[in-house]
Amino acid sequence: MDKTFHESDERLELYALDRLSDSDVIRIEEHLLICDSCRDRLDDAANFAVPLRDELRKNPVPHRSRQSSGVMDWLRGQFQTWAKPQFALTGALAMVLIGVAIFRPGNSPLVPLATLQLTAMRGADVKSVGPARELDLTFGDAPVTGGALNVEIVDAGGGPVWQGASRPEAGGIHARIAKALPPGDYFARLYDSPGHLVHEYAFRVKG
Amino acid sequence: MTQTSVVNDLVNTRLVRSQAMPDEPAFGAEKERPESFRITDWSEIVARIRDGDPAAMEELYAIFAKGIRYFLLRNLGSEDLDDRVHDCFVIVTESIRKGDLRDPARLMGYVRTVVKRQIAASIETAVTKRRSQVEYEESLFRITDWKDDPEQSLLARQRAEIARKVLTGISTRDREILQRFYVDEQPQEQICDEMGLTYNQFRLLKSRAKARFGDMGKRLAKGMGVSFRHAG
Repeated sequence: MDKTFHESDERLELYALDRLSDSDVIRIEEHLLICDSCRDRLDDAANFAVPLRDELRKNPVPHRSRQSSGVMDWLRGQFQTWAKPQFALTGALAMVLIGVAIFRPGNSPLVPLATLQLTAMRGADVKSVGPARELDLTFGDAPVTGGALNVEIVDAGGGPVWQGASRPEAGGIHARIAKALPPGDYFARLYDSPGHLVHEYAFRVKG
Repeated sequence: MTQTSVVNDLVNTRLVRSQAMPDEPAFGAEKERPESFRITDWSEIVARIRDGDPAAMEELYAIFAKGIRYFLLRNLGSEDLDDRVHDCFVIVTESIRKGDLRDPARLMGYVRTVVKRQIAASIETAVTKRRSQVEYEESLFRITDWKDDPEQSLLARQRAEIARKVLTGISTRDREILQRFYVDEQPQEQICDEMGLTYNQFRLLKSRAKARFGDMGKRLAKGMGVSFRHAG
């Protein structure tokens, strides 16, 4: 005696939506002729899928692009928003005010980039660096873990300030902190990919 | 034309299903699916029918009657349904007796072909009749009277309304996922790839939408006193 299997819900739904190949249609219909269970499940699938498809057809939503280009879509959306006259005027005014704030007389602008070489040491000898718009940290004695290390910068109170990935380069691994850190004491923490703390470094941003 | 050639001519057509069946279960009713399904030894029953065994005819009828009714009802409506089912069995059993069905393993395929031929013939007859009558009667006859069944129309409208509510209750992203699958007919691998989904997430979204559809259908049926079973 032969033994055959029931049709899956997915295939029954595709059949109801008329999306199976001719050979599959023949096979499924031959089975439906003798199978109460699959006929019942076909009705269920059709009662849901067909009205849903029809409603989706009536009121389609515009497709977003691929997930990988989502950033481009976002940027495009932002550009379209800010290109509107009311937003463009506000944006231009904000840019002027920011420029005045940065370059007004007596205000010392931050240097674009400061670099700091860190080593894990115990004691009171804390490396320091001047204020800058960006900070390039080099971890000279970072352990070799075989995977990328994540970097977390916290302030003296342990509050998170920045997070990002490191990159291996000559002389150790590097992390570019793309924000100006206010004067104060900080800790740079290295984590491996499972999230375990590997090393912690202290540094100071001078006032 | 031999029966075999008839089979070959018709294998690329499909049966149309568009209507509810008698005793159709309510929305969202859970269906149990046995793991496997054992089929009859066709050669034995075919041999007995050839020998004129009435019990074998009854067995054949018991196996295929519901399925044949199912497709005939969906394609042609309930009018003359019993006669049409009977006609299909007469054709099948006569063919078996005459030895036209040489390979018993093809029995299911042959029954399907007979059903399809009956449906095609009925539609052709109806179209011809309508053409000839339209000349002296104004649409007195309609092929699809059964499609204008008020209860069917009500059910269709209710399902459409439930579908609309389900869709308005989900996010634009989820709606796009459903649209890609149901309207754009994209394969789920492509949808998962482009929308950043795992296969399980995709299935979960569909099953949640379906469950919501079922729940709303049940509530609607309860509130309005409407049965989602076809009256038959």
